This record gives sequence, structure tokens and C-alpha cells, in this order.
Amino acid sequence: MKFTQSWLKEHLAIEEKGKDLAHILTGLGLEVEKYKNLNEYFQNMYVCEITKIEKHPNADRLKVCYLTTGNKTFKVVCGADNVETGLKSVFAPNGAFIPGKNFTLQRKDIRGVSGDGMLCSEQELKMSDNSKGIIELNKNYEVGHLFSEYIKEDYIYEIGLTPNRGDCASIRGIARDLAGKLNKKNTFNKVEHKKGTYQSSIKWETLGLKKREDCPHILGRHFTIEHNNESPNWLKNKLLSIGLNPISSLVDITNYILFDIGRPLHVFDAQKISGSLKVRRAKSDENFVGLDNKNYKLSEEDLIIADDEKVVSLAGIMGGINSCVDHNTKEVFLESAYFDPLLIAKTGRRLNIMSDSRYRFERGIDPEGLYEGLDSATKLIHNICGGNFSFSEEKGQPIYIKKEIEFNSINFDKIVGYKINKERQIEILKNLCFSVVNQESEKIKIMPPSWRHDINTENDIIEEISRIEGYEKIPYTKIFDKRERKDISFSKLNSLRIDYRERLANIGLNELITFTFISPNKIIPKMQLKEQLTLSNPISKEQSVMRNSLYPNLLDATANNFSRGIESVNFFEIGSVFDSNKFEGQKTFLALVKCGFSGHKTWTKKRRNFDFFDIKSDILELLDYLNLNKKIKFKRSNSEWYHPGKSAEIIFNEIKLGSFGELHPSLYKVFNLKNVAFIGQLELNKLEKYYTNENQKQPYLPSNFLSLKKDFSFVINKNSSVGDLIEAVKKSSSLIEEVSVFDVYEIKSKMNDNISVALEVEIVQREKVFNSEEINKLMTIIIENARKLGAKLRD
Amino acid sequence: MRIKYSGKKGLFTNLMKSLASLENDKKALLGKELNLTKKEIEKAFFSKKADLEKMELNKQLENEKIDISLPSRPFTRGGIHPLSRTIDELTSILTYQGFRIEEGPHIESEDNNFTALNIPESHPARQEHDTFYLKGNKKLLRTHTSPVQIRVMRKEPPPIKIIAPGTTYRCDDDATHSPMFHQIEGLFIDTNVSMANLKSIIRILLLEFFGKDISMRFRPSYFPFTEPSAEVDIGFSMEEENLKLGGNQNWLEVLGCGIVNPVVLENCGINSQKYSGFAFGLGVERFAMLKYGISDLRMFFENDFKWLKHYSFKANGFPSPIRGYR
Repeated sequence: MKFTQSWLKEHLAIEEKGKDLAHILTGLGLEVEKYKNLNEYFQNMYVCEITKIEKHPNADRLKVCYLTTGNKTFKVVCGADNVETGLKSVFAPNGAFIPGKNFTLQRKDIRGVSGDGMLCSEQELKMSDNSKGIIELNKNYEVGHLFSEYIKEDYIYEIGLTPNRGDCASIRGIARDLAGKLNKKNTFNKVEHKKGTYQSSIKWETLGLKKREDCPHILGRHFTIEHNNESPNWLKNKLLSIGLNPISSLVDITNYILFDIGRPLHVFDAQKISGSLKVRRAKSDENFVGLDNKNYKLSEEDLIIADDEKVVSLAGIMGGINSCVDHNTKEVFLESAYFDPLLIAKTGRRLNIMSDSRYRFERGIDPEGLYEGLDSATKLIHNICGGNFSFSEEKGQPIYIKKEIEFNSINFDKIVGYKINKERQIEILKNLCFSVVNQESEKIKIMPPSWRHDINTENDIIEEISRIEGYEKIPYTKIFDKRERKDISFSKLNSLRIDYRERLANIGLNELITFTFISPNKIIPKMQLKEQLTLSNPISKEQSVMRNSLYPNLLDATANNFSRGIESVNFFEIGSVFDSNKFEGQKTFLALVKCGFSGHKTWTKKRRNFDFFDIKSDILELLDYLNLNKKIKFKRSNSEWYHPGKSAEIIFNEIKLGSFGELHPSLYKVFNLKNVAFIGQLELNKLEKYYTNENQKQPYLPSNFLSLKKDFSFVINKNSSVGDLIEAVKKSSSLIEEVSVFDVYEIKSKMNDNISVALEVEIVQREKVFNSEEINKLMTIIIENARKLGAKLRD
Repeated sequence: MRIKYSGKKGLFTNLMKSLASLENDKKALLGKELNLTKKEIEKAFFSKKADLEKMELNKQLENEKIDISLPSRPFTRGGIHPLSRTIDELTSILTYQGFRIEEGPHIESEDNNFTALNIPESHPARQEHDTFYLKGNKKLLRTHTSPVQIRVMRKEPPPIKIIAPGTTYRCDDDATHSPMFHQIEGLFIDTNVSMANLKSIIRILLLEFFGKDISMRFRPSYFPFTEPSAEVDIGFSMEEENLKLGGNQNWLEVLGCGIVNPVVLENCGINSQKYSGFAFGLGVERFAMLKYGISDLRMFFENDFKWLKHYSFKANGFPSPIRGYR
């Protein structure tokens, strides 16, 4: 909603301007998004006089003018017809901003002649739409003075209206609210009611309404007009000042009233209407061609106005092209109506038509303002276009029900947190045109004005009082928290998320946050693509399905970074994945991707690529945090995501906690990857229960004796597992603290393929130093346990 | 050489032996002199040896010299996403004020997201939420974290003091809008909760997060689910294209809040005569951008490695009020 200071002043005598007025308006809840001093435009421009005119050497239609600003002479190239020696005009030097053209003037060669600036037309200075010739100033303007000295100071403001304040979608509405705040009287004049001289041939019919509320009240009037031209300058300039283009006097008048008092009106060309005008619901599949020349298919949910033959208007939203006024119009029918805001909102939204009229109707216009709208328009049409007008045509009556709201003045303190006495509360409400019905006790009965349909409850009234008093008066009062602090603020899941993030960042992984919707092509396995998780109005197909896994985005991010020259990717994300549209179907996962080189390129060691055991160690690191890493089992995975021979599921107590492995070879194409990628994931919802705030640790006493380290070299079959061998060795004695694998290699022979595994076993001598006999006994047990698994000790 | 002269079979030993053939007083005199000479020679000898060893060591150290300007062995350090860290900071401040963290689903019902929050179907406010709908039944991607309010109020009786950080969605995709973003919702319901309490909490939140020298203002606004409603702006100025927080030159909206509309309380079965409360909602991305000087919203979700390296946080532990949230 845009308005100028000068227009506002027509409704309210107000001295505050610029920053101060913006501050007051914003404090009222009418947030000023922008404001500008219009005179700033003219600050570099001077009153000048043309001293000499020469023909342009290279262009017939251009002239080279010499002009003076008193002590300086300038040269400009000008194409206007009205230049003559001795004429006073406005000179904009190079570097000045030309508001009507929205550019800053630069020194430029015009057909071989370069000027010092330009002479301006009214349109170029955004003073009017007159672009014919340069401004002609009379003798009252003194050469050499700043042009701005002669222009009345004015500001333009732009307000972001909240949806509840339809009453402020007009300049008078804003003035009214300001008057309430500043304790001032509105200066708006009442328009005189005019009766008319004949019966209108066009009548209203409202039989086709679905319910009375569709259009409870509608007024009309017929006009015969004498002049149908451009609007007078004052009207054109008013519209221009808030950025609207003048069209014709009839259209400009309705636009002016819409912005001035917030009353939408519509004018039909009466000669294009046959029979009576019927306000009714549209028939399904009825067609309507709007002023925008677009064809709209209507439904029974749309309210329209039709004559005997055709739909002539989409009520409250847009007129029809078949009945609009044009330069041949000689008779007019004017409409001033109240339409159901919900119907207007629904239709406007369904047909996607945004208009100034719809904007106001759907926010609720003043139901008592119909006569005023009719009278204001009658006065202007009669003054500007001449002719005669009919008696008014009326159907229905105002639907407005006077609502009395009771509120307790004591509750202001309870809700807002400081005291305002009852008298002041009443004064504020009266300033906002509320009428007080009863104020004998603390409970006050009041009635809001007809335009404040947004006021319905005690809290609404409290807000009115506190916003007029100013929110800055509300104190800061600390909460007295009487609850016991027994709640744990962070859930286990939250704590786990935070701790895992810190831990992964510590061991070199970078956290990503990606969109939760992905391409349906990246739902793997395919059978998990579900309609209930597909968006009906996605931004693109690439972002149209709620993800079932964190992997696709991690892999996409990997590929994108590789395409930018990154050679080592080590990412993780903690986020939601979905297997149904229910809350239970939303799961929190942690996923990792490792791809390309492990670590930096450095002179200290040879660079290698990430491999399976890198991702395995990350996963174990996370499980270690919950003390699970020694308790879990690995099982080969058959997921479509992984290379079947290089992947594992993590099992604990028969429950799958997650999985990891090398990306399945068939998926590299899908994700545009060239380097081998390793991915892993954990389902945090399944891990959270193992999160503990327990601080107590198991007791541990270090041994004073040397720990023994014994090396073994076993040969096992290629298909057996080193993990089983380690387990078997470990359980040989409770004194074995660590079993490390320090060499693994394949032994190829014709008979069979075997693997050689070298182990170091650390034996803790807890109470005494073992003698060789004891050590040999332990080693025999180890070898025997290994043998049971089919592992042979190498000679 | 030492052995040749002063060893057991060395020159001096032989000379001493040869003294045995001389007469006694001559023997004593010569012997004494011979011993002195031997000691002197040995002394010179050891001193020379020490010199030589020192020279040798110096030579060795010189040879062992390395180029200390060579790059060190690099750590591979990861990072925490700036949005995660911002959520951590904000939730940390608020949990310290006694708020408990709650969560809700991304996929919501129209009732929780709109109707129960007093946003009926034709309300203009519903249009301002460009909503993603899912196929089939009328489920949607939540347009704000406010539905968590409804879920909690329908589940447990007051007093309620929760915050709900989470992912939110609107189908809007341009330079200043991302279709997915993050909010933090706050809700406090008890007997006698006022706007003044709300202002106090918001001030604590903003001062703790942005620092003590920021300025803020509360101005009336409108949300269907709060009445009275307010928006909170913080002051800033532009210094050579850089945004500097503080002052009252320009204002930037950071947060919406208000007294929970009694209609919403009643929708959730809470007696609005007995209880009142406040709610607030803030955009995490905006907080992160303002505090850390991130200018492009969309980069949060681009996941460019070098951008992440620049804007991510090292794992230095969870922010806490005691450490001043850094």
C-alpha cells in the first residue's frame, strides 16, 4: 500500500513526516517498508534560461541549446519542440538522477555532440505524465535557484499491510489509525448525497445467490456522460504519485476512490448491457473473458454479475472485456457492492487473479461504506464527465451486525504485563472510533466501528490498547519459573545427534544439510517410491519425493564437488528420512560418504584412496561412543546400495542398527561418480536408547608388570573370517587384552587359496610375572583354539 | 696414537721400564719427569680428542639440518554446518531458560498446520504460506514449526515450556527464499503469562545470541495464532557494504511472537480463562546469516566443500551459556 504525505494530509492535519512518520506508523503495526523524500530527486536540478539555440549539425530534429544558470553557461542537446530563447526550464546536469526514466544522467555523445546535461519534461521528473516538450517555468522562478525550492516537499511511503487490516488499505484508513494514535480529528469531508433525475433502465437482480451473504447489499446508478476523455491533471497526478497509470477519466475515478477511501467500485458501459444485471453464482463450465483478455472457466463457487446474455463481471475481482468502458462510452452503470470475503478469496485464489479490488474485498471492506462510495463517484463523474445521473438502484441491505464486545479492563495487565487505568483504555478506544456501550464496572462493553471486522474478542481489544500506547511501553519482566527443573531439556536423540556431530567433525568429516525431497529416480530400491510421499506441487521433478535415504544427496554432493576439482570427499549428514507420511514413518538417520583420496596431498607419505576399512572405522568410532563396538556383529548386506562382497550390516541383539560398504557398481552412473565411494548409515532412533548420561565407569587397575606381546602367524582358508579367528584367540584367556592383526596376505597355490594372518597378542600379567611354562601353556591354548577354526600355525 | 705413546706397551711404559737399569736418585728424578711429560701429553691428547669429537658432532648436526619451512603433516579436520551450530546456540540459550526441546513431523495435517492455529481455509494468511502438498490425502509439508505447539498442547496439560527446532517448507525458490529452511518455535503456557514476560525472554535470546550491543524493537503485527502479536526487529547500519548490527539506522525483522490466541488454547482443550501463554517463531537461516555474515541463503544447501570449509565450525564442543556461546 503506497501513499504520499500530501495525500495523507487531505485526511489528517499531520506535521510528522519522513523518518518520524515512518516510526509512528510502524509502531502502530502499519510497517513502513520504504519511504522516500520526493524532493531528493530535484536536488541537483536548477532553474535555467535558454540563451541561444543552434541547429544540430548532424540531426534535423535535434537542437543544441545554450543555457545559463546565472553565472555558468551549459550546452545541451534537446529534441523538444517548445524550446525557444528566453524560455525558463529545468536543467539536470550530468550525474543527476532522472526519476521518470529511472536512470542517472551520464555524459553521452548525441550524434556527435556531447552535452552537459538535459532539459527535462514533467514526465521525466515524474511530476505528471506530460512528456510533450520541456517544462516551461513562469517568471516567478529565478534563474540559478534549485528547482526543489519551488516544489512542495512531499514523501512517498510504502506499507506492508498485515492480512487483518483491510481497513488500512486506503489513505483514509491510515489517516484514521494515525488520528487514533495522535489524538487528532479526521478532516475528511462527508460527501453530499445526490438524488438523481431519472429511473435507471438497468436494475439489480439477486435471485441467483446461493445464500444471502454472497452479496447482501448492492447499489448502482446510471449515468449519461458528455465528456469521456483523459482525467484532469490533478487526478492523473494523484494516481501517478502512487505509481498508477492514468487510463481514462471513468477508470481513474474508480481507482482514485479505491485508494482514497478503500471503496472498490466498478463501471460498466451501460450500452453494452442487455436487460438487468444479475448477481448470481456462476454455472459450472460457464466462461468469462476478463479485462486481462484471458478466458476463465467458472464454477458454482464463483460469484458473478451477468446480464440477460452474458457474464459481465467476476464479482469484486475483475470486470469483463465485453462490458468495459472505452473511449466511445456514452452511458455508464456504476456498481458499489458488498461481496462475501470468503467467496472472493476462494475464486481469486483458484483463478489466480490478483487485483486491487480483490485485495480489499477479501480482507473485508466497510459494509457501511456503499453509499459513500456511490456518492463520491457520482460527484466526480458528474464534475469531470458532465451529463445526468439516475436515482440509485439498490438491492438488499447492510449485513453488518453491530457486535458488542465485553472486556475486563483489569485483564490488560494480566495479558500485557503493566497497568493502564480504565479511563485511558476507554479514551484510546474512543479515539479509534469504538463506541462505549457500558462502562459502569471494570467490565466494559464496547462496539467497534463498522470497518473493524477484525475486532471480536477481548484479546483483540487489548491489542488495540497496547498498540496505541506503544509496545515500547511494555516492560521486560523476568519469568518467575515455578516449575521444578526435573525435565531433561534434551531428549536422548537430540543429545546423540549433537555428540555424533561433534565426534564426526573431530575425525575429519564435514557436515552437510540437504533438501529432504529428491528425484524419484534416486529412490533406491525402486519399490520404496510411494505416492503418499510424492509432492503434488513440487518445484521440480528433482525435488519431488520425500527421501527414503540420506545417501542420494550425499552422493550428489560428492559428484558436484568432484566436478569442481575436489579430490577428497568426507561428508556426513544427520537428518530425517521417510517411509510413510505418518510421524512414526519419519526416521532420523546419520549417513557418511567417503570418496577419493584419504587425506591431503603431502610430501610426508604416499596418498591413498579411501577404502572399506576407513568407513568401518568411522562406524565403529560412533558405536564406541555408546559402548556398543565390542558387542555388535557384522553380517553381509544384500542391500541394492552396496557392493555385495564389500558391505556389512551392523547387528546388535538381532536388530539391524545400520549398514555400510562400497557403493554398488551399477549406481556410479546414476550419481555421475567416477571414483569409488564408500557409504554408511546408522539409524539413530534405534541407537538412542543406548545413550546414557551415566558417569560411573567400570573399575580398572593398571598392572605393574610388563605386558607380554606374542606374535602368531596363522594360515586360514580364503573363505573363513579373520574376525572369527580374533574372537577365538581372544577367548583363550581373560588375560588377553588386545589382539592386533599386523599382516594379511594371500597365498596362492594350485591346491587352494589360503590367507596368512599375523597376529600380535597382548597378555597382561596382572598379579605376577609368568614363567615360561605358564606362557607355553597359554600359547598352546591359543593355537588349539585357532586350530578348531581350521587355522594352522605357520612354521 | 695414544696407545703408541702411553698404552701398556707404549713408548712411555718402555722408557719407564728402561729406567730400572739406572741408579736410584737418577731414576727417581727421571721417572718423575717422565711421568709429568706423560701426563702433559695425555692432557693435550684428550683435549684434542674432545675438540675432534665436537667438530664431528657439529658436522653431523649440520648434516641433519632440515628445512623447517616444509609444510607440516596436515590434520584432516571436519566441520559442523553453520545452521547446526546456530540451532545449537539458540537451543542452548533457551534450554538454559528452562525450555524443553520437542519435535514434530515434517509431514503434517492441515489441521495442525493451519486450522487448529486459527488459520481457516480462506484466510489470506493461508495464501502467504506457499504450501507443498503431498499426493493422495491432504497432508502437507509443514510451513512453520507452529504445529508442534498444537501437538504438545493436545498431549500434555500446562504448564508447558517447550521449544521446537525443525525443518520447514514453502514452495518458494528464488535468491532470498529456499524451499526448505529451519525455524525454532517457542511456547510457554501457564497461569499469568504476559507480553512483558515474552519481551524479557526475547531480549535474553537476542542479547545472548547476537551480543550485548544490539538494539531491538517490538512492533505490533498480526498472526492468526497470537493476539496481541508482535514482530521483533534488530537495528543495523551499512558500513561500506557490510552489515553492522546495532543502532537504529535501519531495522531488520528477525522474529514473530505474541500471546497465544485463546481460540488456539481452546482448540487444544486448554482452559483459556485459567491459562495464558506466549509463543514465538524465528528463522534459523536469518539468525545465522546475521551473526556470521553469510550473505547468500542458498549456499547453506549447496554443500560446496570450500564454502563449508570457510563457514563451518570446528568441533569445539557444544555451546554453553557458561562459555558465553562464543
